[in-house]
Amino acid sequence: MGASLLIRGGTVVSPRGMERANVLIKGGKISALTTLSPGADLVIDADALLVLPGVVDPHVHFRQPGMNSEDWVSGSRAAAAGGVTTVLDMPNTSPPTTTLGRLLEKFRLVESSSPSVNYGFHFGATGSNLGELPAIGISSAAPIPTPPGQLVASVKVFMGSSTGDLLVTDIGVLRSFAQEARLISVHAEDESVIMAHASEPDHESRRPISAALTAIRKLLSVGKGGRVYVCHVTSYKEADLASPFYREATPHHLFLTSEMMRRIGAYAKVNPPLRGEQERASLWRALVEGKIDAIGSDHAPHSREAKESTSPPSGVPGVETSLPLMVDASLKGMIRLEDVVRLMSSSPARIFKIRGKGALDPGKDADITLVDPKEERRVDPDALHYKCGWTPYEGIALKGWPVATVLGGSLAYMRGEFYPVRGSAVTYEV
Amino acid sequence: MEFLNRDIVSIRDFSREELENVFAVARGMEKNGYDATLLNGRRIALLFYEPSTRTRLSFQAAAQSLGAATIWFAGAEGTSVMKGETLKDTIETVANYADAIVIRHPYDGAARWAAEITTRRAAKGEKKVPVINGGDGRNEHPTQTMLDLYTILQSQGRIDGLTIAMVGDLKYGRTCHSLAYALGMYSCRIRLVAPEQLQMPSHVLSYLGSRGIECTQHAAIEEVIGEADILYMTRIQRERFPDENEYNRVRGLYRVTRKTLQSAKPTMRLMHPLPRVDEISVDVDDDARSYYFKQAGNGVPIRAALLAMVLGGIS
Repeated sequence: MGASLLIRGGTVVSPRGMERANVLIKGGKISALTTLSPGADLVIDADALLVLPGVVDPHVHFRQPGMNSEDWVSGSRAAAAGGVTTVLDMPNTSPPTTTLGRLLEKFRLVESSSPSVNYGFHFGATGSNLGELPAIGISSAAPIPTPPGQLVASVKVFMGSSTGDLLVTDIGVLRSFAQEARLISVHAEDESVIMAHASEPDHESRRPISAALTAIRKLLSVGKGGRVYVCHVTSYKEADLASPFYREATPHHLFLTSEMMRRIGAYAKVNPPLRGEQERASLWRALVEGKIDAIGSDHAPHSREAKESTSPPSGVPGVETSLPLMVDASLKGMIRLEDVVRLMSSSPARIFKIRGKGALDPGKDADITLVDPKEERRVDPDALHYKCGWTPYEGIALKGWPVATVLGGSLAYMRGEFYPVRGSAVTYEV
Repeated sequence: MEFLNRDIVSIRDFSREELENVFAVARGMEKNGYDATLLNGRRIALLFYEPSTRTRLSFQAAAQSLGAATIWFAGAEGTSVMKGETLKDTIETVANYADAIVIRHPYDGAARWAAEITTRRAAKGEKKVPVINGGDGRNEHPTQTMLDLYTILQSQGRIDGLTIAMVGDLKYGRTCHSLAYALGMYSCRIRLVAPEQLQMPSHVLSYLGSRGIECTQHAAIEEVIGEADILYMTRIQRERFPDENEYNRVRGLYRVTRKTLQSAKPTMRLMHPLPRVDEISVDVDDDARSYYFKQAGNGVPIRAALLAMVLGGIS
């Protein structure tokens, strides 16, 4: 932490623009962006590289405790190799993260894994755990900044698609969480609409866009702007309807279509489902028109055995490919790089009020991703770091891969090598 | 569905009847000549972010034969990394210059995206500028598939009942996937000839199965040459193989020479989307069964027919 580091000669990208600058890091923080070449203990030559604030992925499922399709060693390594420096983990683990006790258990478990990236948690809403909110420091009335309270980015509400006590279908309960929590992150697919389509022939039509629209309408009746984060919208219609709220899009809805179900079967099964080409194009329109606020990978790995079983679960891995996909799309002219940085780093840090992240300004944490815009290779599951060993993007040629990741001023990953750097729990500006 | 102002993005947006409508218009143009006044005063923009000689030149030739002017750029430099304008901004701009946009782009889905932008523009009261896909990434190249079908029809007088053999890189070759999907609308027999690691993906096979198409897989051209009415050759790329020796071995196996043709029917026709490397030896070019240059030539009537239907309201 004490050593200084100079990242020299790269092009620094921020939502405001791009500039050639050297980045000086001292004590784990950004010290200066400069055209001078100050001395430093270590110098990384970033000539011809893009220098980005580390990606903040607000939506990952690292599956611990209780499930084995990912863990915090494999998941956080995949994240670091994919240019991600902070992840926010979802509560639908086993047991689910729905009490203060379980939250602390998860915290200890993650700490003991020495994760390669920084981390935070979402807390799971149930029909009966509203009373936990003050203790975990997410109550808007009493944002107690005690250490456990510092661990929670939002309260995750599943309006559909989940199991056990994580499912919230009661509008009264939904209203209470919307009022009580500083921020709720919502899986907005309405359970009753899903049930009404249960006999449809395929996964896509069993969970139509109308399920999402109905859920968003319910949220509009109970939620306030700035206090609701709608996860994984799949079309322009949803993004437009959810305008008062923060809206997230996932790479798989931006890059894949329901055609993938025909190609790779249940490996492409995910909730909400992949949509048709038309909806995919409309989601891109929402993205470039500013109707999407953040990109989250919704990294949700499952083992090959589970995906090939008779009742395959929903979810695809994605934490390691989200930045390469977006950079590639940007280099092909689909979106400006500045906007990629806004959607994948600055905005998630701002929305979840994560202290010190999301920008390469002096005083901010030195979480940095270096991208080589000329590096071109195909997505190869064997070269990724997931425990599940597969990716829905297998074989796709992408240009612009992350080559190094700096965490708190120390090199965490560079060209295939991991360094012994330990991520820590993020804190929130509340 | 009406063709006027329609976006031509994917071959799967078309029914058999609609395709045959396009073929009839193309046939009429070949027979009666092009109406050089049909698209007088119309302008077609060709945005080629990737090089493609045949596709661009045949679109240009098609436009000119109908009296339309073209504006165009070609080259990878359209995708400038640091200062490049977004595709959206380019499309919004060019839509003011042209009556139709033909786009070839490395991004999977770029044509659908461009169509989304011009449709959105039309919803705001501007005129609809139809988008024609000239190949987007690994995704779609619908006019190639149309000209392939048209070529089969032209050379054999029908598609139903034929035995069509596809040879080469069937796993990654976009041309073969699209052609196979389109042939699923007909009742023909399909023979797939490829090294095991480059065989047709299972999703295409199960689609063909669901359409009731008799489809078999083979390791050598010799197994199918005797029965084939169409032999559709494609290129096998070096990058698909881990080592040079294996590549050279396979390349030698999937090659058509004069000797190969000795066992072929006299009515068989040899096709190739071009460019070829050495899948078809040059001394086969003079054989009466070689049809690939005629196939490439069909790019003009097919693309002219589409332009006439999309811009001129011909049906």
